[in-house]
Amino acid sequence: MINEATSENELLVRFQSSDPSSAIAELFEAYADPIYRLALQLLGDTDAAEDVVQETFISAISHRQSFEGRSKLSSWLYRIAYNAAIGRLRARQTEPLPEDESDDETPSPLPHSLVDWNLTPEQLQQDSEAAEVLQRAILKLPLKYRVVFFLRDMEDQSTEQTAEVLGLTETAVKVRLHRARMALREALSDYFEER
Amino acid sequence: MKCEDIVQYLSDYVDGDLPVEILEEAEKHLASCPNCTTTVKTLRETINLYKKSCKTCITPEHKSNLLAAIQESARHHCA
Repeated sequence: MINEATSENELLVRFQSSDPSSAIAELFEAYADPIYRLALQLLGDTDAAEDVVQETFISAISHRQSFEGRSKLSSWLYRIAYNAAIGRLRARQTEPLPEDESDDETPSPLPHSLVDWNLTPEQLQQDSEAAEVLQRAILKLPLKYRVVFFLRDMEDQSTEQTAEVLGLTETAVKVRLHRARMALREALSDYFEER
Repeated sequence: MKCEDIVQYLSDYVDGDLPVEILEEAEKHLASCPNCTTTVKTLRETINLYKKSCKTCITPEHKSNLLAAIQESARHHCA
């Protein structure tokens, strides 16, 4: 943990120096793909997702002196990327944005699909139909749930980091994560029940 | 604790985030409820599948072009 913090501090010093090129290369190597995946989840378009990666790094470089280290660099970069992607979505006006949707405060319904199934990640790699079902299921989630699930469960961000990136409380992150997980479980269980 | 109660806590339960007093009640319920036990098992399977699913990456060629464009922009910005 100390090493990780020291390494992040050292990287930040180089990033905020007058020659940030080596730090940019390291940050790009570490975070370009995760940022790309976040943008892809939100925008569903590879070209637009790559544009968000470029916009994120250029914006981070321009504003690097204002980063005070109160969050992790990764959270800060994710936050810039999230805002860039949301800006594009807002321009498209195709679906409700997470900010525009209130949280559903009714209790989670009881699961209706109770089939017991098992598919290992290794089996999934050989099962293109199931892989497609997974992909379709996540795309059916409302954006506000999809982005939380993506950061927490697919990119291993903590509840605190996810809250920082999305500008939510930790409680809101947990509520949305619960809804997303239960909806995905239901979708996969329906699929395995019919298969 | 009944099924409609525990369902509210399942996500925190699989994350190990439940307070002890609720955890004890939840485990007591799970020990006697096959439906909720199946729900917990398939919830864990669901999370695990997505966690381990294939991660999309930028193609190496596009990555190289993007980094070059970003470094070029940085040089202008820092000059």
